[in-house]
Amino acid sequence: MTYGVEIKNASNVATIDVNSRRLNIVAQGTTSATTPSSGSTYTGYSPYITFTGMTASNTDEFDVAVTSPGIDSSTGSTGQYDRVAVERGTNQFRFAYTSFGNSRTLSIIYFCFRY
Amino acid sequence: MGYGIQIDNGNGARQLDSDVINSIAVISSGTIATNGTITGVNLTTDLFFYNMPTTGLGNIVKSGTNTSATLTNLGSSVNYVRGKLATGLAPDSSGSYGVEIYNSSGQRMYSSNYSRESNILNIKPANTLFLGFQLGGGYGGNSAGSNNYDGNTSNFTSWPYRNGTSGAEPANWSTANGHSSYKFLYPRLIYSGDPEDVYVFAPPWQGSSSISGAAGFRTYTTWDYTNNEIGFSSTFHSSFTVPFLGTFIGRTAATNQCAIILMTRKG
Repeated sequence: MTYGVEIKNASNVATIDVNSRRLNIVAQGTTSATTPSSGSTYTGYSPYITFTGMTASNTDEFDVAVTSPGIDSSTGSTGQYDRVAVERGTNQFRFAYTSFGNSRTLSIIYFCFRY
Repeated sequence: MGYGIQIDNGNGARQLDSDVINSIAVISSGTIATNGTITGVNLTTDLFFYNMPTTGLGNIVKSGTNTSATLTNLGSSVNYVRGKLATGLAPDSSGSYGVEIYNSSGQRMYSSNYSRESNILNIKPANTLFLGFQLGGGYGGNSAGSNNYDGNTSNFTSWPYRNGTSGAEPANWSTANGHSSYKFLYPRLIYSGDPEDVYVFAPPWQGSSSISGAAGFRTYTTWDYTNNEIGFSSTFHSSFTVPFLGTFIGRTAATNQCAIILMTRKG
């Protein structure tokens, strides 16, 4: 090792070395989006979730993982048509929720990380 | 950064950073047998990764609530790693020296007394894997009409790794879940290399253990130890049709709806 940091556990095994990449959480929580009550496309948006560093394109540095929906959203008769997309911006992102039905609300648990 | 610590790896990727709000600590690992479960998973704090040690389909479904979910393994036996938000966690080994990092709220989010770490191999960003269209009866497929992904015709030549061919049904996906009504979309390559020791966090988009009727949709991973590849795709029930292609393009032109994370264990 000629540079960088190496951290070893009590068994003398390196848990972090110069090539490691870790999940550093920059934003995390639960948000929701509601589809509109009328219109030709039923897409609703979550509020923007903000933090410094994200851009529309730097997916090699920042990204978003979701652990739910999956339990609560799939039980409705129209649940299969639902989808969520991550809309990235500068220092922020939001979720776009598209559903078969209007006035539907989806709860989303997210982990935004720098890696 | 006014104070604190930031450490980047040799490629400039951030490893440790006191400016972030949290990090993921590996709290447990083990094996889930076929039809085995893990209970008490808190989806607001936990990230669950799994590895299939043999060629096959990986499918973990969820039931319960967001704060106390049960994960059920419908495929053959898998290895798993459970990560958790580090703040509030006590290190899993004791020691009176080393490094601890606290966030601006005074919460410990890293300790060198964590005995295990995750090492990220790759991320497939949200909405970047086109899984294919499904247009009525039969198997789903790629609108381009090819029976492979990424131009590699050697990939996933056994059903249902490869769309539209016949063969053995996946273990434990049978009678109770109406396998005859399944439709599979093309798996997309998410990793090239020996799958051994590679763990995947995949979008958990369907919580139903039953894949029937309108709610029938779930994601799966494909593990190929012959060609050394891991894929990702989705399947749904045959009652599904495409009422509004273009508008409801999510599951009709399915994609990964959040990041897919591939990692290995350290320690």
